[in-house]
Amino acid sequence: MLAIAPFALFVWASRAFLRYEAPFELRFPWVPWLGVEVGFHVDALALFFLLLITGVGTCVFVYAAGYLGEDPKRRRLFSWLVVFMAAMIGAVAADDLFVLYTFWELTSLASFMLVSYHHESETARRSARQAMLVTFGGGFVLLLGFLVLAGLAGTSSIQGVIAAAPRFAGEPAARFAMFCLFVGAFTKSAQIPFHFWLPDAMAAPTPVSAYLHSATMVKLGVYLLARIEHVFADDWLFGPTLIVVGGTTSAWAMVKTLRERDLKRILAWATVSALGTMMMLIGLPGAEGAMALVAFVLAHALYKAPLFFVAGNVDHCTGTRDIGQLAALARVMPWTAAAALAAALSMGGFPLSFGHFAKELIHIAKRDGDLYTIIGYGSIPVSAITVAVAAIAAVRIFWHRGDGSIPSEMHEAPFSMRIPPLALASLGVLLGLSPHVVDPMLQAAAKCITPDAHLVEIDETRELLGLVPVYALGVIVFASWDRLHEVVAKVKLPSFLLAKTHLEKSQETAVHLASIVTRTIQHGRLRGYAALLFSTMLAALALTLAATLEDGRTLVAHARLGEIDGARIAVLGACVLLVVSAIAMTVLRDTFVLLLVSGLMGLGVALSFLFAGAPDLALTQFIVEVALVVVIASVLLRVRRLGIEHPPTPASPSRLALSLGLGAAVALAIVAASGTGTASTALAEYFGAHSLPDAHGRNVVNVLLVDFRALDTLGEITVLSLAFFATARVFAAFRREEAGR
Amino acid sequence: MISLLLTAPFLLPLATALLTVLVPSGGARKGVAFGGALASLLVAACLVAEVASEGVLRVAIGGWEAPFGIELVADALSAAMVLITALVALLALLFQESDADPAETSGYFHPLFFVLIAGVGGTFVTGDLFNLYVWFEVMLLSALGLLAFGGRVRNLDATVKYFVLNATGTLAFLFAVAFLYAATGQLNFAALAEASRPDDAARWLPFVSLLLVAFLVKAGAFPVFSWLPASYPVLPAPVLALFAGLLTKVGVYALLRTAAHVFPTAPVIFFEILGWLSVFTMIVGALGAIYHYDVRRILAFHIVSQVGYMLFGIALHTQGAQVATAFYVLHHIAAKSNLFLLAAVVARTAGSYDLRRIGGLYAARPGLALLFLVSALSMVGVPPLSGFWAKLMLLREGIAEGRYVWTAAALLTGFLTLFSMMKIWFAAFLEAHPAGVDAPKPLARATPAYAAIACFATVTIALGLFPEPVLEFLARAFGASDPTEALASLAEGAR
Repeated sequence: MLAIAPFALFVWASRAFLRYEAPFELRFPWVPWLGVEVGFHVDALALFFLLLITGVGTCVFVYAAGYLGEDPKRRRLFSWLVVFMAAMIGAVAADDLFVLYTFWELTSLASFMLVSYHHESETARRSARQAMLVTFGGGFVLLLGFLVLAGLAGTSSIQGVIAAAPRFAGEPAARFAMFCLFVGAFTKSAQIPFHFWLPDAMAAPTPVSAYLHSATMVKLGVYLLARIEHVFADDWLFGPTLIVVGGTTSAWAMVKTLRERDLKRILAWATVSALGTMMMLIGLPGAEGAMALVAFVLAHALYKAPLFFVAGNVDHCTGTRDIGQLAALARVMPWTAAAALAAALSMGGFPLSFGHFAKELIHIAKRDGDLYTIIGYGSIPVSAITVAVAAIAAVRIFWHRGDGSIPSEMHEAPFSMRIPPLALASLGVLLGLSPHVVDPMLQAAAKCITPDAHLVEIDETRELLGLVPVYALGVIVFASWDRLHEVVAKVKLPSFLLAKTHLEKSQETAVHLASIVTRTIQHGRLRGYAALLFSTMLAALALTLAATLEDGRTLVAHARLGEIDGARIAVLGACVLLVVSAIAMTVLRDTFVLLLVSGLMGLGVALSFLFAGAPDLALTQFIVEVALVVVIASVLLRVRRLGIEHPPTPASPSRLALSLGLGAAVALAIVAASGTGTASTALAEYFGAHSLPDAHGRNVVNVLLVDFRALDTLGEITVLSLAFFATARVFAAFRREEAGR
Repeated sequence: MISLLLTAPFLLPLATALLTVLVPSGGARKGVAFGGALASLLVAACLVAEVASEGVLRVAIGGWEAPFGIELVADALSAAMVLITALVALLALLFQESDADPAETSGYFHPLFFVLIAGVGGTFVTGDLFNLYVWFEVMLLSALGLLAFGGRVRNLDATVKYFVLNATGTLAFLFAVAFLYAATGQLNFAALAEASRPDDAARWLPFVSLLLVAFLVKAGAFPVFSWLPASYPVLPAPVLALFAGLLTKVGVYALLRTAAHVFPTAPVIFFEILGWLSVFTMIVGALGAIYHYDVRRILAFHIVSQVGYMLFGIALHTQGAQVATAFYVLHHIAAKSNLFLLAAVVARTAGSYDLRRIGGLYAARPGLALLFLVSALSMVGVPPLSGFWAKLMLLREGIAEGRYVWTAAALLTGFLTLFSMMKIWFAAFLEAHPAGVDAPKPLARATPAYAAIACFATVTIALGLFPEPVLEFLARAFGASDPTEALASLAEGAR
């Protein structure tokens, strides 16, 4: 039932394509403040991908219904498939870089959720984690590239960026953006060195592998680079980078194919290889590349999705995907076998299939330009292994006689699992018979990549002759697959060559580093925390004081003592008492003595108030200090009597230096603050002038407290009452702790 | 009318606190509490509407005009902060009604809770440096009372660490206020701004730096964040959500206010240092999250790293970055408070906060899993959730200002955050429960918990889908792109 929605969209997209004349756009504002709008630009390239997404999507939904059967979690799978399809449609239609990014990340998220579908399995979880880290990590870099690109172009509309490209071409920032986009595209499209997540993502259910990890999502990177090829085409690094990375990926993936026994993983490596070829096609100069790319994307979707369906059927019906245990399935599974055969014809590029058509276009594209002939030769082994893989998937497991250890309980897949692979695969063959049906479509799409893309004449005989070595080699590889496999599987690659190990290593390193850093900083000892806080305060004060008061003279010049009279001398004496007792506190150890000295400091403060003209403040301060000393002393006495006193901590030179330093810095700051000579006296004058006439109070301090700044007093009263509540809680905690003992 | 709107952010919670002390029965106390929280939310909404239509609101307390008396000022930033505070308070109270790690109910809970809210609210509307200090003190004391709540040794240990470090930070604040008053003779924000003209600004640098340290302590920034991971994990869930959402953000708010409006002309070196501190805050916080296994500790370290992002925005010191920071703060409050509530439900359902001892929740509670994903991915910065825009704007400003290293650190932090969020996702949701399939136990009173969580998630999604009105509103607080212009307009209002 769910398949109706993608099918309706497919029909709509086909109609739109048949009547295609000019791209149509849909824009409405999203975040004008950032210049981001929900913009869609549906041109032939977007429509081409839309057809792919909805067409393959229809088959996937039909297939998944049969594949999942009565699986209790199937609703979850379908929900995420729907989310994925919507995100995919959004991604290829989007015209705004950030809208594209939104959908891009959504596809990554959907992929993550679908790969971890069998989350009971450790392998599935590991694979999902890897896929998430690689694709999201790449996504972050991509976002950076988009930001730089949007900054250069002054717009985040893709069409706008393309139009503005000549303005910023050649700037270093543009090249930086290009490489960011490369990283994003390579992670998504599984290019070296980010390729390893894709084969591991085969832990997902087969419909997911067919849809996300072969036909659509992994082509997003290819789509992105094709879409913005114009912007960077003039950079001499654009083509070569893509050719080197794509070519290496394409070849390396084929070597890795030989190491596998699992049918799905074999197909996955073939997908990686195909994606490499697509990257290479974007990088090739000349107009033929675009045409070949579009044709190959279509051909790949039409053969790889059915082959995954076939693998799913085989798994579903026999319980294994190990090619060593599978043979001669054609008798029990004739429909699946037929689909496999049709898809394999296209994959191998055999004449009269659409894959053949695409392959010819690729050959022509590669031939263009002498420099690239070497790639043409280099791709022969790659094509040969592709042929062999196709043969494995179609011939070996269905027609080849095995050595007897074949699963006994076998049956053909249900109807809904036979139709999708057959439909897609036979379409691949039918289009091969008459490629001119889709020619206009491919040309229109290719023109969106390179405006002068056109259909090239194919010289059939020459092409066929060129393919002979490929087939010959392919047959040899197929025939000696098991022996090759043994050889290749034995080769142990040095681990530094494997990107996967690097990812795992860096995760371990991150965890290790995290534990070192965290245990160093968050060590759990209050004394250390406090020391760090005081050091920070000291650093903030000392460095800035040193910077602002470069020559000491400024400081001295500000620090005027003013008139010397009796009161001033008394204040000075109080200050000396303060300083002496403060220094004494840093060296004394006995708790009682410390308490008494701190009382002495309070006395110093009170005295300084007294002689500075605030006898009421002095009185208050005096009472508070006395009360404090008495209360704390009584507590300490009790503690001493109970014998639970902590031994005094030994003096530490560094802490002593810290205390003295901070004290000195604060003192300096006081001098600097009061000596600036810029302080406005407006407030003091105002308070003095208005206290009696307006606020009806003779004591300015009291008026300040209860009238001018009454709100502060409200806050302080709250603090006082809170202190009661908070202490009550702390006491309750102590009491309960004692009761609990 | 305006004076009512401006005093309500602290007077309403204070009145509620007083009432909850006076009301004898538990049921009535709850009623009063919900009434107070709802009223606060309504008044906060009115305040936002009023600021949106009338612009900056000012009230001189007791009729003593600024700069002589205490002035309350509400611009768009204040109004938005007051609104989100009221929302967090209401939802935390709602969550308290569930049985997922609530605070123990005693006569002390509601008064302390509401005084804390009053302190936070006062911070956001005051236009006076010393008054700001008073509200900091109010918050400090009520936080202390709430921390001591659990009544176990670990609570006391956390309380002592919290108190010593925060009290020291607050003391530094007091010193800085005294220095600044001595140097300028002013306490009013606008008057201070006027006094610190660019040619003179360098001389205030030591005092402003001390202020910076005080705010950094409150915000939980490198290197003075140690109190945060040391104390937060002992709190009961609703209180933890409140602390995590609001308290560090008060420090960030104070910094943003200071940097944008009070001392916008501070020397470049000030912002340079702040920027590097932000880099360390981001990275060290993210590493701490990777190291731990207790969900609450992971999330507490995430706060640190996210505060780093906000400091990054303040350090860039452009109008765009300031708007981005303000948006980041709003997004963060909604998402982070929610993550702690979610963690409580996870712990209550699966049996522990320790990731090594839980699992199986994706199968058992798919709804909870989705809600967790929304908040967690928003933290990572995945579009189209609120965190995406916050991060996007910061990165954009970072690139535009040529701060490539800081920007790269922000990107790396996003990746590390993803890594540690996935750790929670895998261990709590995907992996099987070590005690078997039936281990997850249902909550007895699940509705309040899920309602609170769903509300927060809605805010996160709404901010992500419709950021424009919020951004436009916030931008008014940082109206002029030239900081001196903003200063002039502020100073003019003060005259």
